[in-house]
Amino acid sequence: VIDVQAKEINWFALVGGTLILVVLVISIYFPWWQLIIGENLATVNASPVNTNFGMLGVPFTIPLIWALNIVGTLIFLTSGIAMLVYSVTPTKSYSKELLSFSYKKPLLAVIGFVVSLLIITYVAGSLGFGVPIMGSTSINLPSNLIMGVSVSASISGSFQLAFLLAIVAAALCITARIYDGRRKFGKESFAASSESNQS
Amino acid sequence: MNKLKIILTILTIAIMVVPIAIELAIYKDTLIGLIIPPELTNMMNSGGGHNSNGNSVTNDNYPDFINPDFEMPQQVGEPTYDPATKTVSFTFNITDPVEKPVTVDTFSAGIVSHDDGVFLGNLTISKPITLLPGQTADITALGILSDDAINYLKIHAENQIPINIDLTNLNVDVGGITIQLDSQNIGDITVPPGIFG
Repeated sequence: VIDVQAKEINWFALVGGTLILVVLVISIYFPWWQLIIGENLATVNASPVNTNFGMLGVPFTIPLIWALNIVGTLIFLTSGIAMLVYSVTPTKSYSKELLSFSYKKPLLAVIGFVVSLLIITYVAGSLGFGVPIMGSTSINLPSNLIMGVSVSASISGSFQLAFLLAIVAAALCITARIYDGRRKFGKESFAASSESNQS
Repeated sequence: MNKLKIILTILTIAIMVVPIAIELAIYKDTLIGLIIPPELTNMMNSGGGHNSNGNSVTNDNYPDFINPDFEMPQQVGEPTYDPATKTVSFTFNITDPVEKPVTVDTFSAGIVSHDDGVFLGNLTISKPITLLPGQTADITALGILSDDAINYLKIHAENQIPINIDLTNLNVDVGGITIQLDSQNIGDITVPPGIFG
């Protein structure tokens, strides 16, 4: 039985850990980033947890990305649980390990996701298909690719609410780590000053 | 290094490696399948459809993303001509070619006689048309004819000579995608003898 005392709880970690699990559930249904070509003729719904594509009404996933999404799901799940357990037992002997295990992962997931998007859009741009990470533009398919037919399409990319929630969760987890460090530093300083006063 | 730290490190490595290793094992014979899913391959491959007689077609005519009920546009009735506005109208019955609603926002083209190069007029649709999956709709295209075009068509109508038609500067805006084509031959049309009164 975990003996939880309110003053011992790391509230940043508690909210951060809860938010990680909320982000995990939300990300299954809502993407972090969405790309729409034409009037929903082709779509990309991307997040570290669930990435899927749609073309002319036919949905599909890419197996490699699906595997990476499983990795993302497990990372969010384990780090969320670890952060929650740490948050209510921050003074236990194992708490440091739980915090170390969990606090960086949401931030790394957010950074990894953004870096992946930047790389993909850069590669697409170098192939002649300008894909906006945010905002709208128009792409033109080379006419020699499609038997002399010139095709242009509106294309828009945007980050979604789930992405902002993930940033907040990551920030709270980092804050929880800083708060933990300061609290322990404060206790050590207090103990050291008490000892010096007694001597 | 305590036990918990070792367990968490192993857990992290397992989370990173196991799902990807399983996928690699599944696709070990066709590694390209890791990146190009079967749905996409099927989409690009040919599938089935229906020809204009409603008969099932399982040859190479239609890719899989095309609605299996798709039929090529068919003319409905005969063209009509309004002498007051010099406008000829054609009605086509068209099926949504894909499995989702599609809106044809604009359609415009010039009509040119392929053999004689005579410019006959411009063709447009009067309003956007939304096609629902599996449903058909009538599209009425309007063409405003020049005097030369009317004379040209009258001669062909009286003698029942088919006119081979090119659509030029074809612009179609479908579902936010704009398709432009310099010229597209659409074959012979026969102008009904009584169309000009």
